[in-house]
Amino acid sequence: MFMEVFELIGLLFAFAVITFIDIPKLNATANKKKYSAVYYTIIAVGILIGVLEMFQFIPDYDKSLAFFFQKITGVK
Amino acid sequence: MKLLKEEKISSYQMVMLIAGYFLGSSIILNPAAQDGADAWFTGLVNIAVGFLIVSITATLAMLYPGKSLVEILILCFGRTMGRIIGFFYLIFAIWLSGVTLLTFSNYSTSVSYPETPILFISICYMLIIAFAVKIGLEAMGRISEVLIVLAILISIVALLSLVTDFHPDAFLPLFKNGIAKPAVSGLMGGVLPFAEVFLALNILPNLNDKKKTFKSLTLAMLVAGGVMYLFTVRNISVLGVNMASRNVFPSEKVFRLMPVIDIIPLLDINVIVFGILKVSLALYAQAKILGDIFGFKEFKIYVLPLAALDIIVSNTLYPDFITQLYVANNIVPLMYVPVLVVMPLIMLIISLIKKNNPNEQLLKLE
Repeated sequence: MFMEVFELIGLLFAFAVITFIDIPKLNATANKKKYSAVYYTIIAVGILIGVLEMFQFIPDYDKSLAFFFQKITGVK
Repeated sequence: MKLLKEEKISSYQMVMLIAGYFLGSSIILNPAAQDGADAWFTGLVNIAVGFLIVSITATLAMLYPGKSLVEILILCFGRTMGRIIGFFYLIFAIWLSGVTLLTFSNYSTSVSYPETPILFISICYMLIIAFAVKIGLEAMGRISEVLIVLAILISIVALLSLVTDFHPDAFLPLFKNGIAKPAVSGLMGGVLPFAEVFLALNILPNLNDKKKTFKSLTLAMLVAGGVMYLFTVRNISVLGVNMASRNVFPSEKVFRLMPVIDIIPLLDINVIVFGILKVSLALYAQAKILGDIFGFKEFKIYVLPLAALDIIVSNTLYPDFITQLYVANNIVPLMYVPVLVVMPLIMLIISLIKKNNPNEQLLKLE
């Protein structure tokens, strides 16, 4: 658990640094609200996928789809 | 508001940039080697199929000069549908970046830096890639016109220094498994790297001479196809059929056979150059598609968060390298056919119908 928390802090820190770098450019855009909405959506998606992967909430879809893959390709 | 400078690259830079994009992961994985003694024929089919696929994208680009992928989608399918399809291509570009990044990181951890965590290598690569995309397409073009030539020279040096180890009888008997099997394999193999050119529609508007679009794309395809063919033939004639088809990184084994000097670092240079160029173009495509969907001119703001997202996706995709190879060899070509062959073909047909119908009202972009 300790390792996961450490990874989570790393992930949040990385996105915080990225946002810190881009904030001046975001503020300088003509349509700040629209640009920021898309920007923070990408950040949110990144954090969501990162957290799901970190705590292994994402199922092993390769294993789940293995039967289907074998059926369509014929390769075991 | 600060005026955005339009980035322009020459035809030669475009050829080198797209050749590097094609060579990407194929340079280390060498898919045609699976066909053993018939790989010489599979390689030729790859190039022929690649030419046909590249022609579709090139014709589309010629029909809509100066228009990017999402802009062409909007003109073909309407504003809403075009943006929705564009969004799926954004997801595809994110997936492509993640997979390519994972391939190169796996190569680095398997061959050069076995003690280093894969995440650290991915981050290091991605920092360079994000910087390259941020500084712009012109800089990427200039980088590629030097580095791709260097990478091709390294490949030629490696080829020439192993001439004494060549065993042309590895390709005998000709067509041992019949002609159909390697031909079908070549069809799918040609789709794999060359169909990705469809994403290059995002950089084609930056070509300074639009008349050279077709020539640039086909030349890039021939350069990349030629290098891949040389690699396949070299690997099989040096390693033999069994070794070349069983090995995950046959080129690495060939470079290790070099007498007297250790030239593995030269292969590392090749891998890094091609890998960085491929992911750079995919990352540029992501930012551009996102910008076009929402009508943003300053799309480069999104490069850093998208780069971080790519690293996370590459970390999430596959549990191990063997699964990745299975999916790359068996599933990915099936996915590429509808996404990167059928869809461009439909777009081309719609465009030609619209072009020949004078009553058809073309949508005006915002």
